[in-house]
Amino acid sequence: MARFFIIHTLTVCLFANVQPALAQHIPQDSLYIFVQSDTLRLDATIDSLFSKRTIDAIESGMTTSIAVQFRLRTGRGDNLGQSSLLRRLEHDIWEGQYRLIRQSARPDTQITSHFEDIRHACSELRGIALAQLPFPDEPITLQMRIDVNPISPEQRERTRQWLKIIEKGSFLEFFFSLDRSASPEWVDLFRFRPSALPHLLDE
Amino acid sequence: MRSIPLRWRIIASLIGLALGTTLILALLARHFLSLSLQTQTNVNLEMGSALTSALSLAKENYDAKKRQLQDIGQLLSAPPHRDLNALRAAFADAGLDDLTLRVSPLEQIDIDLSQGPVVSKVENDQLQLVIALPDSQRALTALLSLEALIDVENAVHTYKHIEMAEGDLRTAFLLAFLVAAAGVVLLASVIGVRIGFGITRPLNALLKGTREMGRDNLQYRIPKGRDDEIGLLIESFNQMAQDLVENRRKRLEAEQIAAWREIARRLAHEIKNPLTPIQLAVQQMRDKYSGNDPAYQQFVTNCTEIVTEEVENLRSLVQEFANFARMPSLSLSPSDLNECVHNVVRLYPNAHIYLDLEENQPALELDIEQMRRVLINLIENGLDASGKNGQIEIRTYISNDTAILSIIDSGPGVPLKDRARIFQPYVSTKESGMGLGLAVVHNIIEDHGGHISVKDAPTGGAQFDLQLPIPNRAKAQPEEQR
Repeated sequence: MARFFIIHTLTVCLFANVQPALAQHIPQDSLYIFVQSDTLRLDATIDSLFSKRTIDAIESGMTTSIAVQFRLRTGRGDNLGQSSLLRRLEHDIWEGQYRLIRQSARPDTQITSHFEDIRHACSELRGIALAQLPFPDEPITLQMRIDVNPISPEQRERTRQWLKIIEKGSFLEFFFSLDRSASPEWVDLFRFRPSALPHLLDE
Repeated sequence: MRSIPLRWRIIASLIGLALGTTLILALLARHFLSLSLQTQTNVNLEMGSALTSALSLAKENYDAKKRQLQDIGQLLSAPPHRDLNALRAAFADAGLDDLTLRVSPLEQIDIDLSQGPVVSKVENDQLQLVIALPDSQRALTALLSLEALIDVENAVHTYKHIEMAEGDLRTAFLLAFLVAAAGVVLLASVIGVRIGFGITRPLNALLKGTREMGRDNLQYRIPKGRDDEIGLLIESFNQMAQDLVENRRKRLEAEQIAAWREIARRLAHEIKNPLTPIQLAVQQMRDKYSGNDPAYQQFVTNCTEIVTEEVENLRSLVQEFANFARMPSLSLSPSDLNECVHNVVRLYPNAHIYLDLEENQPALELDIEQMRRVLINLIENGLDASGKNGQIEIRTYISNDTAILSIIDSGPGVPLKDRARIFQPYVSTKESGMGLGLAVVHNIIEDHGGHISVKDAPTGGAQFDLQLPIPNRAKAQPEEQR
């Protein structure tokens, strides 16, 4: 019997698909959490926000959604606050223009013809409001989740029509979806005590 | 160490077979899928390169059209004034046929035209040229469709998307294959369990059967329930059990007969020897009497006659015992059963005996003298039971390769309770007789390899059926004769 289990295990391992590690990260030396006007804020620089494949997609004119989310968790798992930066990046390849549209209560659009400006705008986070004080003075973990998806719903539909084999309700559809909207996992970024944070004066 | 039960070995073998086959198929599928995707990748590289080039060409085309629009815009914004047809002709001359032209009052245009014509990309994938016409009152809007160029862009986007999804798609194919393979393995497992149990369940039943036999439970039978080889094996087992029961019965009967014969032999020996001296002594007592008392003389004579008569009876009885004890071994030879019947029936000219004999009766291996004894015994029993005007019917026929001789009387029949032991020695339903007749008949028939049984005849009397084996060489003869 043991032989069959070994064969079975080998079969499973043969087809095992190891997920690649998350490429985006925030170097610890670029991370700065501080208190300003009873608000916990964050300065950070995201490294490698856009992968080469994503940049290729953007360069070819694909509309990309960029979601950067932070949250604060206590040791007991309580959520103390959450902050989301949602943007949509459009590239008009005909005019050579990038449009970075911030999706918030007060949307704004940055237009540039240089991708580096976009990279900077998306990677350099300054004064991001995480939560309102006060907090209990206990260890708190800052968690982050980044999702850069160059596939729009329209593009998904176009690809589905082109592929044909991935049809709704097909056997393969059960294992494969062109919709990559599933959020990535939260990753721990930093642990701190509120009492140890620096307080900045209002400008 | 106890070995793995057969059932589990069969199941494991089938699952192993399915897994092994699936594994080989999986490896092949993986290989071919990789090969296919590798080929596809090579094609993709070429296609990607071609699409990138196409996009560059489209961009160049876009820039060229934009320049064309700017140039013609400059031209048309200067005098002379042209009507709409002239404007259309001017665009056609510049190679821009597929345009939508619209002239509208200048104040309705929300674009600053003070710096000259404005060319821009607008919604609905169009390139728009807006110029102030020389009359300074009106503006011309020309819309050029970019549909073909946008198609190229969409194709590139789709290609990029597929390229990104390729890894997941490969995994999805393999997962789908694995699920299908798991289904096959599951099916093989279910079939394995069914086959395993299908084989081992009757084997276990056979095992139980042999154990019951070992415990001397010869009545145990295995339910057959199937018609395949295993069913035949079960049938064979049950037949073997039946044969064992039959053999045991015959052995017990043989032992009983042997015991009875030994008793009969001893009785005959012990009784026969003093009979002659008794008879002689009594006769001497009668002969030697010289007295004158006629009454006593008569008394002695009567007593002597009684004793002599009883001694004769005893001698007859002893002879019967001796005959039973000294039954000779059979001397078999091919014989005609019907002829034997005829010979015996001739001994009873006044009896009502009816014959219904098989015409194609094959020759049987019989000891003809013993068979005569059998027939005489049964006929006399039948006549005794049937009374003064009783009838006897004798039938011979063939059934299932066995010769049957039936003797049917018109008597009251044999009570059911007596049928089991009627063939045992010293058992009789008659008031007279020693009960050795049917025991002798039974012995002779069994010694012939046959069998005797009794039942109620349809006409109401007793029916004795004698089954006699037909020799193999004789079996073919009636067929040929027929």
